[in-house]
Amino acid sequence: MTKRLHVAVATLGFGALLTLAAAPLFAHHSFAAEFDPAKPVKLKGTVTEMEWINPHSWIHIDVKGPDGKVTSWMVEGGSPNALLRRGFTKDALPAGAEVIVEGYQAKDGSNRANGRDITFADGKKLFLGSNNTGAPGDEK
Amino acid sequence: MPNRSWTLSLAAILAAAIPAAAQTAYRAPRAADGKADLNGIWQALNTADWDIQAHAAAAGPAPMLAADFAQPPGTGIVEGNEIPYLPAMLDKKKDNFAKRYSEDPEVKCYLPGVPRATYMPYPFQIVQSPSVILISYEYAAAVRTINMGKPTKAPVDSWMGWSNGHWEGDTLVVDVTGLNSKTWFDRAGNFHSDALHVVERYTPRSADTLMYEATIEDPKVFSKPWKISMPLYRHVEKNAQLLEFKCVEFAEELLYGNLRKQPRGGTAPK
Amino acid sequence: MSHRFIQIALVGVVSLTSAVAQTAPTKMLAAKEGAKTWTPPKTADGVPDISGVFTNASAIPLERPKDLGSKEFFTREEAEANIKKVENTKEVVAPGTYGDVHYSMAQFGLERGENLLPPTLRTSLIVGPEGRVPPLLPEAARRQAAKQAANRGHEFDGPENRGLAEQCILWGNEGPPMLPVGYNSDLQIVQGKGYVAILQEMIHDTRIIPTDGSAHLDPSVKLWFGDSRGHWEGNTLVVDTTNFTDKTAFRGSGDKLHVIERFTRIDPDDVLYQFTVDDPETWAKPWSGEVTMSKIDGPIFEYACSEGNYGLRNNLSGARAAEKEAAKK
Repeated sequence: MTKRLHVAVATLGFGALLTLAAAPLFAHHSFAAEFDPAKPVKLKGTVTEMEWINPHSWIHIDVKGPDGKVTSWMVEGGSPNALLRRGFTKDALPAGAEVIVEGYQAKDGSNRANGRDITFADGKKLFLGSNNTGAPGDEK
Repeated sequence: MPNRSWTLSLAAILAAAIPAAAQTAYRAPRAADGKADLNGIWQALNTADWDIQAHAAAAGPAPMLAADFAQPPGTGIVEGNEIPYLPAMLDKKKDNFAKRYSEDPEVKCYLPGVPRATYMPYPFQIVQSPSVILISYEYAAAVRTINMGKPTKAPVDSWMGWSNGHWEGDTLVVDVTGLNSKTWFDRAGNFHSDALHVVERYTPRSADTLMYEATIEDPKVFSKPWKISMPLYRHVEKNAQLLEFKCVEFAEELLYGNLRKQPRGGTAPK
Repeated sequence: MSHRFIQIALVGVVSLTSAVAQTAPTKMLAAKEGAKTWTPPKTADGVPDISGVFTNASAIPLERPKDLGSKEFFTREEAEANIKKVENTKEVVAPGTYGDVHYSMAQFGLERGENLLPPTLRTSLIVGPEGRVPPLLPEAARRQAAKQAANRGHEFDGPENRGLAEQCILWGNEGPPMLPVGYNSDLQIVQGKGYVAILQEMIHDTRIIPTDGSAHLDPSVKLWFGDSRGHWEGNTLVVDTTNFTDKTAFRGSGDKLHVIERFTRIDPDDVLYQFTVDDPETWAKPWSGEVTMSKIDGPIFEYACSEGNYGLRNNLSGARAAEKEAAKK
């Protein structure tokens, strides 16, 4: 059973509250029809590119299947602005890095996933740990 | 020796005359910190957004809109009127031009990048303080902040780039890097890569005009740097004000029309 | 559904937990007491200097939790105990449910809203004994109910059926009034001669406010952000905003929305931001709030939204796919 402190969910909730009048009320993530909770995926692949964009960053990976065939996936991440404020740059996730993605696949069946957990192949977190440790110069 | 002293006198007269000539060049009012004051609402008065090179009038993309959205002519803003594309890049320019009414990021209300934001047919406002100069563009709420302190490096690419500025006399010089590859220079398909580097110069030329110059360099697309220049005109009307051109809502049918539950009657390309 | 929402909202208060534990008490109290003896510096143009890059992130919710009643301020001990209580409220999320379908906020540094210390002991951003937005007038409630009814069952029909934020048109925090948002809750104030520019990171909109006491636009011109006019009262910038479009619909407001904001620098690192909202067609009386804007290292990073809005496209595409699936059965 996964215990998850949905602080993020909640803080987003304030934003959602403020648009309450005009918008349908959703618990949090407004991209509710984008990914399918019934389609969990675990992907191991090589980064080809990370788009450091908003509203969500996207990590593009090439995944080699058991038959040797390579498929390209794109994995949704968070807004990169907080990482930039902590000193990360676009070099933080270079092409060629091996990553493991656990998440859920797109509802329309395309090779897109929501990256609930993304780590390097050795298990190390991509950017920040759960206590926001891991930023460049964050050795204190 | 009379000949030599006459030459020296002539030289002295000429030397005195040169600073005098310099003194008649326009000197803008000072901002509170002694720099030229560029505060104001400005706008370019040309058709560079259609095509930065010299161009004649042409039919527009929508026959039913006829003269309203036909292409107006323009004498161009490119010095020498040549854009030095690398030979391998010319096909892409041709391709862009052929698909311009669907592929131009402006159609989708995407941010225009630099230098295109300067010559969009909408006003922009310079809000100048000693440490940062903010430029707010009416088009699509585009905005830039120019760092006037110690230059810093762009951590990632962005649509409006990363601007470090300094003064050279009364000229504001802005060094722009960190521009992504996704903007165009105009509606005619002139493009660049993410190696684009732009150096802008804003020089007051009269009470109500600036001279704007930009040097463009991108070794992945062009064989050498090239330059654009144009005057910028101050909005002098008493009620001059930037309003909103938040065009994202106008672009929704174009961007998402084909994903509607009930497609609207009419077009939804791709 | 609403219970879960409230629970989620409570959890959100934890966003500034670890930072609050280290709050400098004098700082918190100074903000509360107004620190009226401090004289702010002036800009080069000779007006009070409210410029800088700030965050208005706050652990304090807009509305006071109902169980706190008319209690407008915590004691310092109560504030710390409250944070601890919320921090220990953990929501259990089961795999295979929508709650689990989310990128890791912690990975991207978004889970605590890049907190700063909340230099206030307030129990809500809304001031006064009630601490809550007044109830909607009957006509406004009808208006809102009609909008929601019209959208019910059509939530994914097209882009216009989605919220303004998802469409990348406007985010609810932008106002005015400008309110804290879940993350990237940052803004930059630049003062040039005769104007104050406010750039909000979410979502790269800039308000440019003349300080010359000029008149508002003609009422027929209605804007997403309204039309703002400012003037100085001592060390405070007072901004009056009218001319809103009813599409902004701030908490159900219409086009008679009227906002008054006050910006006062209260110490070298903080600007106190106070606001009063009124709309005679939406609420029976005005309501006011305040939040402290605290200095952070700049710059504001670009938040281009529509340009990268895969999410809206994917949401509609997912809805169409789900409809196809349902049609097969």
